Amino acid sequence: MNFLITISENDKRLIFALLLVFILVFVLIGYIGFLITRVMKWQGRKLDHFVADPVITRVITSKKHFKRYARKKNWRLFFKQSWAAVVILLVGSLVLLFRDIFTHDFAYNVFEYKKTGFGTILFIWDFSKCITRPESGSGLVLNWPVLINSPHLEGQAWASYVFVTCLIIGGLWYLIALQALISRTIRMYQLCTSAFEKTLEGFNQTQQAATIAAAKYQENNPPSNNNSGNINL
Amino acid sequence: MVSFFKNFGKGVLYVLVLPFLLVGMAIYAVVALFVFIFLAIKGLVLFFTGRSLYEDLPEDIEAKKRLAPASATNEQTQVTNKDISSALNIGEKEETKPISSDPFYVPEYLKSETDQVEESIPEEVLISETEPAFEPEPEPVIEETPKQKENIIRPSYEEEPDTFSDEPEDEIVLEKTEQKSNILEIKDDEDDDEESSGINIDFD
Repeated sequence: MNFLITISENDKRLIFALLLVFILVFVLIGYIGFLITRVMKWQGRKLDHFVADPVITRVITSKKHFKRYARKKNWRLFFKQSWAAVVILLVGSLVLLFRDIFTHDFAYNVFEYKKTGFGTILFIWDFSKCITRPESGSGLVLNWPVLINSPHLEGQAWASYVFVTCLIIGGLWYLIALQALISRTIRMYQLCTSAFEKTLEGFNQTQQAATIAAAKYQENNPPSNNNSGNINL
Repeated sequence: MVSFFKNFGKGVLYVLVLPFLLVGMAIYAVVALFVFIFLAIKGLVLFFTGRSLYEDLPEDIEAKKRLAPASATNEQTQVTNKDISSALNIGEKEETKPISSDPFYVPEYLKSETDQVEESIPEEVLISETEPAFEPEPEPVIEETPKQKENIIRPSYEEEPDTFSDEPEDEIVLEKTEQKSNILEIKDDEDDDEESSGINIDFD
């Protein structure tokens, strides 16, 4: 039996193209991650503005006190940033709830695409028949996906329009506020170590003792005046 | 190229860590929602008691107390600088008006410090409106005594004038001279290099 796989020139080209696409996708993900990191650093720096005064004026002098204070400030800021998002989400949910109560339809599918759901204003494709096996012969047949819905407005789907719109806007808003909260929390731990750090980097006790001894010696024995010997009275 | 592969590596790392990040974020979102509800209730209670959720913490109040003297000093320094610049006509042109016609004008914030000085100044200080015109003193005339005149040593070419006469001392005679041409004459084609101290360059 021959276990070796023979690769034609076309197969080699295909593999090379796929490899290139694979690498490019990961590079793109890397860049997106870099961008998110930069944004999080920018968001985290906002904590400095709120905790700077008590730290500079030495009202806060310990890590524990700083953490307690910064955490309070952090949550307050989160509340301030996210209350609008939560209100939007609540409004959307209440609209959906009232619609269900008035129509007695608690099995309502918000994302339905034929008549009552948000899918009515979206393009919907059917991907289930993309790859088919022919009745006669071997191999697979690749087909284009079939378009099963074009965007159109439906009166019965108004509640889903309101709810999904509120869900997208409020959800994104809340997620951004949450990301800022996490960024500030990370920044808080960074400041804990940097602002109250007692480091011995570059410290040498022996050297310091020698310096102190030299200073004391100079203090006790001030340098004699060199000109005093030349004066003849 | 190195950064390209670094980004590729980071991308792989992010893809591997992403599920854990998402789980962590979901947990944080739920916790944050509970804290949000707690803060909302607390805010409502504080609102009905006439207070605010965003009011200063004790640390903030203490920090403001400590910062207040420093900020007051800064403000006073700014005011002083403004007065000085306006007195020197530096800055905006609209503020070129004199602050006061009073020559002993003292700014308000300095009055308390200068009260004692003001008291020490007598009230009846008369200053004449027009000062007398400046007249330079006449230069003193030094007259030579006869003895000094004798002792003066004069240079040889400067003879002591005896008398002044209207007649000229010498007669001026016009002589006929050769007229010089304006055209430069070339003497000879002789090479003057030997006479001159220049560098002799031979092309042989």
